Amino acid sequence: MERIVGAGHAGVQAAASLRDEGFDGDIELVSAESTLPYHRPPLSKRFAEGLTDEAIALRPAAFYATQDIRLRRGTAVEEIDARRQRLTLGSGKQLAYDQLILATGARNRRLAVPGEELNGIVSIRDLGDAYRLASSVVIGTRAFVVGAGYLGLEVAAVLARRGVKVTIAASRPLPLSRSVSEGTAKVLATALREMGIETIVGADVAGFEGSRHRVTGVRLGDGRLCATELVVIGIGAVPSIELADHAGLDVDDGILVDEALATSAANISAIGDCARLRGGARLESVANATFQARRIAAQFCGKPDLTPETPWFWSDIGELKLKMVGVRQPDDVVQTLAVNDGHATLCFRDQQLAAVETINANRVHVAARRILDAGVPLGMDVANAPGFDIVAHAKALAARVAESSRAA
Amino acid sequence: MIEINFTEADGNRRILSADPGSTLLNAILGAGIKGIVAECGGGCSCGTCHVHVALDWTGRLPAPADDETDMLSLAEDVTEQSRLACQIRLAPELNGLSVAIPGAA
Ligand SMILES: Cc1cc2nc3c(=O)[nH]c(=O)nc-3n(C[C@H](O)[C@H](O)[C@H](O)COP(=O)(O)OP(=O)(O)OC[C@H]3O[C@@H](n4cnc5c(N)ncnc54)[C@H](O)[C@@H]3O)c2cc1C
Ligand code: FES
Repeated sequence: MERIVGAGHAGVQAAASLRDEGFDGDIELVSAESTLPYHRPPLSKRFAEGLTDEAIALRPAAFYATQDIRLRRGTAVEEIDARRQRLTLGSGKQLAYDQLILATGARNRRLAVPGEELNGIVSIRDLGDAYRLASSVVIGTRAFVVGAGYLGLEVAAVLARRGVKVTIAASRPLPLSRSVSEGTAKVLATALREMGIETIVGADVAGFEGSRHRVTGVRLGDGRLCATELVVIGIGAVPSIELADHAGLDVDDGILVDEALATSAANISAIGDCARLRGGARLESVANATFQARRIAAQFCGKPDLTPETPWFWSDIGELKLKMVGVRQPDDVVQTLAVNDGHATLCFRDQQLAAVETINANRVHVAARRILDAGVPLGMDVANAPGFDIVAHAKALAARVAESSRAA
Repeated sequence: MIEINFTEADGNRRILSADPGSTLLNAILGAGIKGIVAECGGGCSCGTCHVHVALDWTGRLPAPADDETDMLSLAEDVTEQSRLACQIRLAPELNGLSVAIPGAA
């Protein structure tokens, strides 16, 4: 019996991939959420509006039946007994497992300031949050977004487009500055201004003021009060590790796993947002959740390990389609690339291409993924040569790879 | 209901059924077809819902938007039959559409 805790991107893909790889034993997904498991990205990109239950679902309802995957919804796992290989559900019911996959994901960080419980203050992580946000949008009202990360920017752009006057409180001068290069951040900053979004830099939020249980204003650390009808908090996420921690598994900003995604306990693995590679980083992305899910399934079924995939991420901020492949480091040497109607920034480490950020330049993104995934180094000297065309370079590389695999 | 003739990676043929107006991707995911991951959930952002449309059908589908063409530009096994399943809406006249997993036997 294969049990999976959490039915987000990672958990559901793990179940799907186990069947893909030919696993024919029992599979059960235990999900704290009562909805059909769904995609999170559309929550902040469109507040899940205009999407039917089917359209936002990770898999249509029929999938679980055709694949013989049991989905236990609206049930949280309360406890793991790693020694006896048993789970305890909220109802008190106990379930035995042979193999357990933890895919408990992450939850949004709280601000922990007075007034955070007022109505009209939302943080977007699940479908309910998106519906709440969608129903709060009133043309001509004001919204205050705390945090200039992906979620904050995506939500700010949607609100602005719907006629809400948006202010973002950011800790640093440029948006997304923890994740993207200065050049990319500047393009984003300009775009935000053009959307009519105002940014307050360096302001910390001291608390919220309200009347009749509804938020009416944001009190900043310097004493200023910003009147508002809606507050969106987007200050990052924390991994859901309590279950693993209580069960005695090694945790440290994530459930610690080795390359094979095994935790410190026998027959328990962890994947997705909740997992952190020992000595490495914890990634929060759909691509990582999906890749780790596919990898664990291949392993369980004794299939060859998957070729590593370069991490990648996408975010839609209004009309800007931001994509990243590879993980940028602050010391990377950056170079911008001329792109029609878009932007691309190449990041080099040790003279070699390590990451690429693009805005509205899908072709460059796809080319960069192809190059980085192939593992054939692209030197800075080559990329700097006049007339260098990354798309042509990737095409030639792809042709070479195809040629050599035919020869083999 | 719309029926789609689908060829899986191992050459096995199946008939998928779908509601008119839903996407080809939905029909594929519902049937649990192997090899279609669809990471971005139909956002035209990931390219993991790549399929090959039978030649006699390619001309009958609405042409791909630039985003779709860009995502496919460097996909593995890309041919003139390549499309992203999430971008194909199943209008009633697509009943009988014939599609395969790229590289299917
Ligand atoms: C609004 C939003 C927008 C995003 N946009 C993007 C994007 O554009 N691109 C991108 O790459 N990534 C994006 N992400 C990140 C991406 O959604 C996550 O990386 C992904 O959801 C991780 O999948 P997961 O399965 O590990 O975790 P989750 O999706 O968080 O799923 C974990 C599930 O486990 C459940 N769970 C937790 N504890 C228990 C328990 N004890 N018992 C039972 N169930 C439990 C939770 O309720 C949850 O349903 C976005 C995230 C959010 C919130
Ligand atoms: S599902 Fe991502 S491009 Fe189709």
